[in-house]
Amino acid sequence: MLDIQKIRKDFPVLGREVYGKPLIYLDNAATTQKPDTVIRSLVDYYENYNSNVHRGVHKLSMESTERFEEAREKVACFINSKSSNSIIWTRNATEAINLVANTWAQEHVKSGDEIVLTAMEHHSNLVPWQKVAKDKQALLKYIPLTADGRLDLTNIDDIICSRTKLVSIVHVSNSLGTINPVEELTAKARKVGASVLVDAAQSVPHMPVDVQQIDPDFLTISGHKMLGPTGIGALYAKEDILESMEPFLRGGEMVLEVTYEDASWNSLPMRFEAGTPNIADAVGMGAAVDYLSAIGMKSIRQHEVDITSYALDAIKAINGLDHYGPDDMSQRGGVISFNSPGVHPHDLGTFLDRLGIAVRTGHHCTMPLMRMLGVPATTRASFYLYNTKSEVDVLIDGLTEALGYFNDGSR
Amino acid sequence: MTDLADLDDIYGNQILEHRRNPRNREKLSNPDVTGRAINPFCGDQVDIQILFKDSRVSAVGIQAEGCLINQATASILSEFMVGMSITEMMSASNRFRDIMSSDVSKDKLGDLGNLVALVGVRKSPVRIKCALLPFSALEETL
Repeated sequence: MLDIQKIRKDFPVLGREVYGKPLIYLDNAATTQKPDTVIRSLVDYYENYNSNVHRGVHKLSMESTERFEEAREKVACFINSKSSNSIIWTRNATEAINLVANTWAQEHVKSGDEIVLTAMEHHSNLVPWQKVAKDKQALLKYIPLTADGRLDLTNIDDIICSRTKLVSIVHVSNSLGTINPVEELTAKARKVGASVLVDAAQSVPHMPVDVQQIDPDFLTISGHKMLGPTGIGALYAKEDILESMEPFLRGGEMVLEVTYEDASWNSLPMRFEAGTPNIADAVGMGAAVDYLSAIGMKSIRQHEVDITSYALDAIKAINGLDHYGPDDMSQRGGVISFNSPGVHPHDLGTFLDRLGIAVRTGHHCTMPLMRMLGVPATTRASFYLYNTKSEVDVLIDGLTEALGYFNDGSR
Repeated sequence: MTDLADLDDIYGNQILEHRRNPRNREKLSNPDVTGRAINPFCGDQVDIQILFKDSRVSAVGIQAEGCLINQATASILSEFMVGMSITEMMSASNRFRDIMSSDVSKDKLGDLGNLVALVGVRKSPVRIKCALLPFSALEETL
């Protein structure tokens, strides 16, 4: 059991009020709040050892390099990567996917190849592949969904087949909350010789994720969704694959030797980190990993299971509210999307906002999925380690009140 | 019960009433001009058809899909437009946009008719765009 009240004290923003009411922050799938250790790590960097990394012979540069590489090591350990050379800093998970799409895929995807995605992909794991498919005359195939928002694997052996070059799939859906069987799908991809990318932006922050167990070629992570700063994320890739890949961005830091005519590439991971990196935020992401590790990902996952199933039961009990995604908590992360046929999500969101409750409304960067569900948008509550059941109670009361307000009853 | 005074300013009675009984929702079959506006961020959409007689609006069809504020604005606007010339509509549209993006008090709004009911939406700045979408559709026709 987590000591939630103790955890909440670590997050300064959770003490604030909005519209005179205590903030109830249920927008964690969009971004998470930051503990004071993360905030202090940023201040500490700028106050005490701000300096460009690598190449510097002075004390500050050595310190910043050490902390920057230490943070990389922490991220590697956190997902059980064999080597920190497998961790490439990016701005976010989107950039990590774009890196793979612009380097590995440009080289390996050929005309007639197939790229397999799921029908629940975030735009970040969809739009880059549309470009690859157009550039290479490759075909995008989608694993369809069941009525309750799980992957429908009935015809999976026809979808992942000998023509498949890459299977790129989301681990936990930001819209539906579904946890996908990435290990099983990776094994299927291996059998036909396809490569695998797992978009883990919504899983790494919330549950133990082990890259040696899942065994993808690529896995992408977002810092700000796991208590870290914005503007920092990471690409995990198998070292031998990175070694064989062309650089993404070119310039300083990523080179070994440069002449007026040509250049050769630096070793990993620097080869993929052109220009001065986001040092402070990488250090901050390291601090976030420390914080999560100290609490333990198993405990965090258990807390989310408890609070999400509690919220799901209550939402199901509200008349006139549809919800999406699987009911089985072993297949659902801490995300619940819902809709009322009579009340638009933006109106619901505005109502809840006035009660101090932050939820997200809209298409959640999954427009094709919304279209498939036949809704313009949904309202989404997403939970994290600092949320409490009493906050869920306030949400449920607010929802009931909002439906009454808009559906005529109480006014 | 929550104190909903602030919400009541945004969702005034007139707005709720127009949403429940939207005016001029039927599509005109023989319009002189048509317009469409889409907000790609929320998926809201407004279609408008206008029929003129002697250079003045004689009939309007307006179909708003999306949130309550968008739908209510479309309904109120469709009533407000009838009888207006293009110049008058453009002037009203510009004035409405100016008012929504400022804090001019209600009594200085002039002849904006029932559109005044939408001024409370300014209390939720992110929702102002919802009230402007039907105007974007109208401007498409002008």
